[in-house]
Amino acid sequence: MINQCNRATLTQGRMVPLPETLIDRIWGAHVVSSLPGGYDLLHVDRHLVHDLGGPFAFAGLEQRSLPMQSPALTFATADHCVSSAPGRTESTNPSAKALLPLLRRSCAGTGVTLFDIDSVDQGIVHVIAPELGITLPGSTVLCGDSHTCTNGALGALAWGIGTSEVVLVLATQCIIERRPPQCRVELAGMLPDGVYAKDVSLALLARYGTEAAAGFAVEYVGTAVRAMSMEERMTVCNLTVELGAKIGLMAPDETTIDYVRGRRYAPTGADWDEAILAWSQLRSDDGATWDRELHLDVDVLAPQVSWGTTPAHTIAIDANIPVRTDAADAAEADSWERALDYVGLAPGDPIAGTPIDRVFIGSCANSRLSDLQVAAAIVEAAGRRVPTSVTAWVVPGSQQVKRAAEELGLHDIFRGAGFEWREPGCSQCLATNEEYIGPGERCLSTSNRNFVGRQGPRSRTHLASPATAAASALAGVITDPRTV
Amino acid sequence: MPEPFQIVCSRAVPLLVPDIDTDVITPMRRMGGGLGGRGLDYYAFESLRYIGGDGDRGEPNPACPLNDPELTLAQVLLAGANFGSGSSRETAPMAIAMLGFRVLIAPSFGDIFYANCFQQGLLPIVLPETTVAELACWQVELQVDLSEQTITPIGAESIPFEVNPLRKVCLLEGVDFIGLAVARSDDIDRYQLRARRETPWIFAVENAS
Repeated sequence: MINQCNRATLTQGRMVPLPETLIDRIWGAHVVSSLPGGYDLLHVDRHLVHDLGGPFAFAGLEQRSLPMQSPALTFATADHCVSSAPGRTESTNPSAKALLPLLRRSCAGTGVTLFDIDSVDQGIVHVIAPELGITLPGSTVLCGDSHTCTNGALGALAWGIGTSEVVLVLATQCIIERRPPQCRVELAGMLPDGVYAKDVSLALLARYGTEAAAGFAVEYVGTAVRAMSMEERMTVCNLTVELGAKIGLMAPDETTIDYVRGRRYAPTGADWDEAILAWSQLRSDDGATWDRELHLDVDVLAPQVSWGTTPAHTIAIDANIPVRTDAADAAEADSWERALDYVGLAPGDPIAGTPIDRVFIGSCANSRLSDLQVAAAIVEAAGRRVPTSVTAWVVPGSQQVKRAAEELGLHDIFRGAGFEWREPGCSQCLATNEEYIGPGERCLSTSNRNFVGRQGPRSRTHLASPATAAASALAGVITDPRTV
Repeated sequence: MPEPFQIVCSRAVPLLVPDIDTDVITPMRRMGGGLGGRGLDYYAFESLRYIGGDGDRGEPNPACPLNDPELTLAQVLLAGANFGSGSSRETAPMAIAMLGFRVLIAPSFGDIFYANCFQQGLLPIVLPETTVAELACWQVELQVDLSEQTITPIGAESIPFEVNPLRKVCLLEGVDFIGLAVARSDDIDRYQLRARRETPWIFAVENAS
């Protein structure tokens, strides 16, 4: 690795390296040069581009007449703007029709690999990057999307950037950034039955708030992390940005290496042998120090569901919506009141049993095969149908996920129970693709943001796990999946 | 690329409402191809600058300080706390630059907006709320000297301000981070040469495609 021991101390006349965190280690290995003001010029190993931001960034590159530095290290996909309707094409909705031709032209002109709308590998950018072996442990991964932190599950240093930074990466394969302070989040214990990775993240948000790690980079550690599958780890890392941190990662282990092995763009042969040797060094040293530490015992968790307009407005599914006197201060109580007014719920009421109009199982938080398996198992066990009052969508994260699910017959289980089985994309998570929740409608969603208007003007969103989403879809009301 | 930052001498527009977010600065509904040939600046601060908050009716709201005829050439904007919070869209500082501003002074800024300002050649300055309010009261010309990091209201004492040294150099030389990184292409080539040797698995995709 390059420049690995970038901090050292003079002990008895000898330079002894200071204990480093995993984030320090990956950061140090990617410094191209140090700049004034605490900034570093960092190499970007993998750059991901999507249909919503990509066309504008490529236009910015053209405006400056700059060539691309390393087109082979950039991968593009069609996800934000595409329709998820069965049989969709780019003409199905205006946003894809306007933006996809531009992205296609730029990728063809620069030699960037594009997973187009009709590609067998098309999918949500943070689903396909790990799935295709594009994201690797110890690498730096950037994308013009705040949920890029999802890729940190593989032990990559991954974060979301703005449009002019995307231009910067296209032009130089580098980024200019200051090393952030670091926060260690320990997830201790083992998840009880019916409680999933999404519940862990929502519980963290409920306990510590949306500013808990603002300006920090997060490393997740602990027995619960080690016990998680890669897909569960991706869900936890995905929601890091809702804690205020741009970066969230987990040290790679056997689970990670087993996951990466054999994937399309993963290293092979001698490269693979060398890589796994290097990846085995990717962990924080004993004695490394953090600027902030958070802790959560997962043994005692119940399924979680959000009740308000930030992901931190979350309670256990068997709890009641908080009342004013539960708030820390008047300002918080007022913000709760505004949130409850928006979502049309009353303080003190139980959240379970709240009628819903929509269910959305999908997004970069929860659209992978294991998410769909959990949801389908609940549908199968319940042996019921989605009531006519509810429209329930399942939007697989990628074509690969969709094919794998269909091979297992999951699509038949969902369709048989009245769910719509759709094409991969971001869909109702952000509503830039004409797929949104209607004004005043209430949606139980496996996505990551319940902001005012996020899923459409005046839409009301409740965030939860795929298990809770499936159980709620069948009951037509918010339902504890442990009761199915 | 932005013009090099010279000493700015100008009156200031006082827009001291707190929490003006990037949705107010550049409304989302005016972005998705809906500009109808009009510039970003036309719809900037639409809800404040136009009567009924509707730029399409085109009637400027005389109560809005941004419409003060005496301040049409002002290059300094005095703003309230948490200016530029919300969505990360870079159109917000872009529109403000198009309106002719070079300096923004507020008690606090949205983090991403603050960083985006530099990319657009704008200098965001954080000063205590009372100082911003005083500057608004005085209604005099301000001399903003980035090299010296001072604001001097005509006839008054200089007020010092903080700015990151790299951001300062970029503004003074008229380079943004893109220009700065492009100028380091030799360093980047050297890094990649070494990384191809030390971490070849990262670059194996170059041969795959």
